[in-house]
Amino acid sequence: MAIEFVEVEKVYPGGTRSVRGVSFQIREGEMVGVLGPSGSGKTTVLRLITGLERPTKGDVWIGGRRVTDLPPQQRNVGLVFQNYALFQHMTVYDNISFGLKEKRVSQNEIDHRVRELLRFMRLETYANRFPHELSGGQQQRVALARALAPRPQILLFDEPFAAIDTQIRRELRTFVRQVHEETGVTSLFVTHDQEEALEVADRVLVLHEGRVEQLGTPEEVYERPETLFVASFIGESNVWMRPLQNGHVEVAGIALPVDPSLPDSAEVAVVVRPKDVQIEPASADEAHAQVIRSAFKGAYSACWVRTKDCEIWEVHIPSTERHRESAGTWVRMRVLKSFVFPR
Amino acid sequence: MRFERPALYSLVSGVLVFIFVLPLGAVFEQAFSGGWFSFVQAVTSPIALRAFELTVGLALLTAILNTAMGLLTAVVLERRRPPFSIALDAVIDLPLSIPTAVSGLMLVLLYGPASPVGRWLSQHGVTVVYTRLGILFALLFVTVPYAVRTMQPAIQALDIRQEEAAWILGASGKRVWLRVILPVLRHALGSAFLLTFTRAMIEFGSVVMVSGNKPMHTEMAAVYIYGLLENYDQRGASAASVVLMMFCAIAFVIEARILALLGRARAVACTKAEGETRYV
Repeated sequence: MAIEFVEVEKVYPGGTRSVRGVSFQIREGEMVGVLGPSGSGKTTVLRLITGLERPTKGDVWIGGRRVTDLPPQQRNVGLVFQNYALFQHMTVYDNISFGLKEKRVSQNEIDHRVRELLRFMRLETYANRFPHELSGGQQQRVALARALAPRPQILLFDEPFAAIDTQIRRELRTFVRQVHEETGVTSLFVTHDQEEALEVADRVLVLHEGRVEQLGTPEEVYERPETLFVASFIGESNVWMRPLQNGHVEVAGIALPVDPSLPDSAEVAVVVRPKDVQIEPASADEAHAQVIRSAFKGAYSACWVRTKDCEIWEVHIPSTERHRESAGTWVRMRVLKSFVFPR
Repeated sequence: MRFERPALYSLVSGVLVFIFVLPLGAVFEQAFSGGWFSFVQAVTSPIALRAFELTVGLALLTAILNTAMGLLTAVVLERRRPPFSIALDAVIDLPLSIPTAVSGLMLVLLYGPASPVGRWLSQHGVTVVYTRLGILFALLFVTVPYAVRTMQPAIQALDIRQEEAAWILGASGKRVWLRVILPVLRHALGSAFLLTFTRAMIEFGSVVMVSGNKPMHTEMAAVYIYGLLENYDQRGASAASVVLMMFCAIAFVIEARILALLGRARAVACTKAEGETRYV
């Protein structure tokens, strides 16, 4: 089901303004990653969808129906909690069947559905175990099966991989994506790990201080960030503050183009991704900067250079170019792409 | 075993022997001094049987009511946190710091025929003082802190996200209590029940004030024992004491088993928590 937030605001008792006028639309069948630093309101957005929180202002719509005042029991959403929140006193089987029993599904149907999910989650042999007898990855799959059992219209994940070690994490990520593709249910997952968001999501919702910064495909938020926050939060970036002069802005002695609509002499933020800078050796007079250090990072080499204004830039050189400059080399820089944002 | 500190060990065991082991032995010795037959005869006299029946019955009723009360009070204190919760929290411990005889006296004064409350109640056919209802009131008052203080940590330890998960899965508030909260609280509830039961069984001070001690009607076991001693029937008093202690011992053993279960559950939760932090 599609999800729509219209000017949603959430103020917690005690005055913490967690979400401030958030509007966005999520399409049916999409998988959206909700990305932001801690305290950005990501979890609150999720809880507003489940109905565990009600907005102070604004409306939440699910599948064209206004659900703002609907309690969680009637929203037909599934949520996988950060620490799974499995019922510790119930077996895996009883955990998964919980939602079906509450919906008064017949015993036959419950059994059929639970067996099906156990198979799907590769948990057949664990049906009679208790949650504390399972590994973190297995508990995660039980939590997912429990959420999926009543066939929710929307599936939500709160930091689903935060408590799992790196290797299993990668596996689960692929698995969750696979589950999404097989069920086709609209899914949202909260994360503070941008790599995770870019890899798994169809679109990424970037939140910052309770506001939507951008909602776009991974490529869009990376290549065409709409705000300074998105540009500096997603991917590596060099950020410089500069005054605008005669329709252009200068960094390290290089003039960069600027959106003509920006007012003259305003302070702007210039963002340059390390991969969008090329360097080549040059004489000290012609050079823009001097290499301080470089490091091999697999697919690319990272290189830190100091400009004549004593600013440190990070530059990435693809390993195929084998251009590892040694420390002390003077280099000329070419900025292939840059973003300029008003402050 | 280490015996590097003989003085310390002698002191501890000496005190234990003189104030605990030997007196307990003396009661048993006295109880069976006339042989099994006279022991059985002493504890099966109609008055004794009635006293035990009344004591067990009222203690059970107290345990049932106060376990429920303990649960509700703990929920109010830990979950609702009303503005008066600090005052409530302090009041809960009051019965522990008031001499039990004074607790009984308070009830006699409030519900006695001399007070307006007592008069109003008796006009409506309810007599509290010198009746079983009065004893129940006294037992409820004296045991309430045990029930509340047992339930509080259990309510605190509840994982609210499990309740939220249940709501999202379609369970109503009532169903969440039935399927998620109460099963998790079962050990704590059992523990609170047995603790209040034992405490009610052995209560003397408040009961002696409020019950009127009519044999076959309002005479509780502890008061019955006291009465026998007053009449120089040491053997009978001892025999009744042994029976009373048996009831408490049974409750105590079950209680200990529950605590061991609780301890194991907690240990599992702890190792799990450690596991999780290792992952993070």
